[in-house]
Amino acid sequence: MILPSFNTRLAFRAWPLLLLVLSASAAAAPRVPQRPDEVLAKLPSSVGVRPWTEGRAATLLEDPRAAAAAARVWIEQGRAELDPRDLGRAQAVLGRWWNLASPPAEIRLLRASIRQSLHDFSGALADLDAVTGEEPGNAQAWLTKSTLHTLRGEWPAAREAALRLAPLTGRLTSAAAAAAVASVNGQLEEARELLQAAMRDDRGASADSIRLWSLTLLGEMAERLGRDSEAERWFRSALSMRHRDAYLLGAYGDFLLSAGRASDVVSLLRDETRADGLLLRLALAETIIDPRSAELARHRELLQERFASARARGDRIHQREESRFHLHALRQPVEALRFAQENWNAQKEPADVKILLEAGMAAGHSSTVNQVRQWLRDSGLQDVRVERMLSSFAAMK
Amino acid sequence: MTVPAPSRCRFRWALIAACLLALISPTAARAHQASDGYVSLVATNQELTARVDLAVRDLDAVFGLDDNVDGSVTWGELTAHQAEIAQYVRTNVTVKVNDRLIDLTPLELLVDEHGDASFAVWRFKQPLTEKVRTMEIRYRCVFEVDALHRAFLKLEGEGEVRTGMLSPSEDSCRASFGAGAPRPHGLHTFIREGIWHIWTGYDHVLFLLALLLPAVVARVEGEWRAVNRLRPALWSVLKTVTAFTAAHSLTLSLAALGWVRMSPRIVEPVIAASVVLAAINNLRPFFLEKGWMVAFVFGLIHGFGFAGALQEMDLAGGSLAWPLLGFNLGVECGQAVIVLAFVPCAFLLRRSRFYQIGALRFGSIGITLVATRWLALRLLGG
Repeated sequence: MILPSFNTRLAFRAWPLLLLVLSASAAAAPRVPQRPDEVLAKLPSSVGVRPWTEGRAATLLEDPRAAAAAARVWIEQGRAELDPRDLGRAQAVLGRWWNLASPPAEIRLLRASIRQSLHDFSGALADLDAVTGEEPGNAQAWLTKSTLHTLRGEWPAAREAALRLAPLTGRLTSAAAAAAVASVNGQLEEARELLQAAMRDDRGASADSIRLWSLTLLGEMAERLGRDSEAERWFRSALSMRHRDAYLLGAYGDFLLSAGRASDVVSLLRDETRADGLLLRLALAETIIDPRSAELARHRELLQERFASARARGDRIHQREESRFHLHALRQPVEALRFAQENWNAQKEPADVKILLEAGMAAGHSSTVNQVRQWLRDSGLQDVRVERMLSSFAAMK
Repeated sequence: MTVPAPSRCRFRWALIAACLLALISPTAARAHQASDGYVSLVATNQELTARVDLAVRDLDAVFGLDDNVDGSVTWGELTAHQAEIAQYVRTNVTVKVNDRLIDLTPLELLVDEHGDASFAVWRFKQPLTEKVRTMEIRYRCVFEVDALHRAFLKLEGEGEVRTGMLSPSEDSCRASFGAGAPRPHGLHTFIREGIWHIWTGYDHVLFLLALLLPAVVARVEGEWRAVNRLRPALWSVLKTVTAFTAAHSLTLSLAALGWVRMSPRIVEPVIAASVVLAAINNLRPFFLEKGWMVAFVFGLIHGFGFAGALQEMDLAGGSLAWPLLGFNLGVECGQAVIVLAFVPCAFLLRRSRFYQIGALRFGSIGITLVATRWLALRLLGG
């Protein structure tokens, strides 16, 4: 058996961070709790599959359909909670098929979804291409593909996938998919009208999750158009569905932050310390309210620990958040710009454009500002907040 | 307006749609309470102390600890499962010291916090009869329920600390301790890095080639003439290569050991300049037979360049002797391959117009141009 030595690249790269993580562990003093009813861990409220404790492991490990069904539950829960453990569980359930070159389409689709969440975009796309090649009628694959291409700023491919999806699914879903692409590619107004009409005609026919997604999209579009009260209405009606969705909480949190409503952010996200995307928004709001509060200090420390742990693992999924954290919580624009640029290499959503511009301006890096200006011209992205920042920068010059 | 009656078809769409959305993953970052575990092994002369920290949430995923199903795990619930968890840890963590299997029977169960999560902590202790030379660990905890689980590892022995990370695909690790302990894996790595560095560090290769090009010719009446016999050619190559090797080994060692320091702002442009000079010498000779001296003087500077590459590999925590030796050996091997490939070809072709005009003249012009561009870029900080 050949064992990897410590001189692997991984160990080298992770060295400083490992030290950091380990020093945290060394400083801690283990204890014996005094009372048997002392609570050690709160479990996530939603219930996933627990194949191992329910004695179903054997079936799952043999039957791809059962495994896929279990993985799907974990992935859905992951979307609601933004808890990375759910992804790890989903991948573990797919264990037997995970490393195959071409697993069954059903499994491959789920692998694509997990890979996307881990920011392995090219791996995810390769899987999706294989699935759509094998099953051109697979709506799920086209939808995931469309969102993935949109995220990477690959408009023609994104639009093509949305078009292929349309005949395979209901009106609201296809409208939402088309609007998701068009709204960041020069047709914000039209996309909004299309989706709004589909939403009006839907009258509750579509699944809650699709309606919630559409409402969130409408909220984000109105926000980019500068119609804040309309955006507020969309976000509020999405929230009133009482269908927990961490992405919605993040999007609404960002809207409130941009609108300068920090205390509303705190009441929205007070208990959301588990998902760091949400914890970040909470910490940013607390920074605005009172940069010296004890609560903020604790949250800041938590975030720093989690970023460090992620880097030690070699994860590259946090750059956007790290950039915002460095810029707004630590006021380190140069660091923030570095993360924003790394992030920009991976993804190109409106939020990525915004943080790149903010960090570029704060660091006085005019080539980054020009890069953003060029991107707006090429992509046709409309966003009043970004445009306002750009003109203020031009005025400053 | 009437609401259309839900057809079967529509119902099916709704179902599909529900599944669809779940799979578009939000790109906002995941929570970073990712599943981490911590393992530390500390060997002293007398004993091995070990500690394994596993998140209570992960143990719940494996064993189902929430016996009263109230959505939280208490200390009482954890201790109720103590025996089976201890057995699990014993099966899934194997440790060898000096290639002998160590029995890890948990001594005590404690609780600790990392970040804002509680961890169950096991401590172990085993007497050791001899000094630790190697430690080896294999770890498979939690991987079966969470493929993204990672264990952060700290191994300590003879005053040296090693860290690492274990994952489902790399679940074991071996480390050596004590001065002079053989580190075959490390040595391989550094030899490979050394070879790689000289082959991909075109400035070193071009410098060497520029010096070797005139080895098979001699300057007679203002022009290059092919030498007749192999011996003077080999002698010239040997002098040049030895001088270059001795010089760069010297400064590589001095710089790697931290005794002499030179800023890359100086080293890098001077390396580029050395290539320019060596190439121009082939066109308008000014140092002729003194090529080996030039090789020595600039070899000193190239050595600093090698040291920079070695330092980038981050040698924190380990002894420097092995990496230094390995890296230097690698550089020499890489260099020997170039020389052995070049010299026979050059000797065979030395009388041809291809060699005298193509290789010697135009080759040197080419090298001059490339190296001048490097020089400019390095001076301007590009």
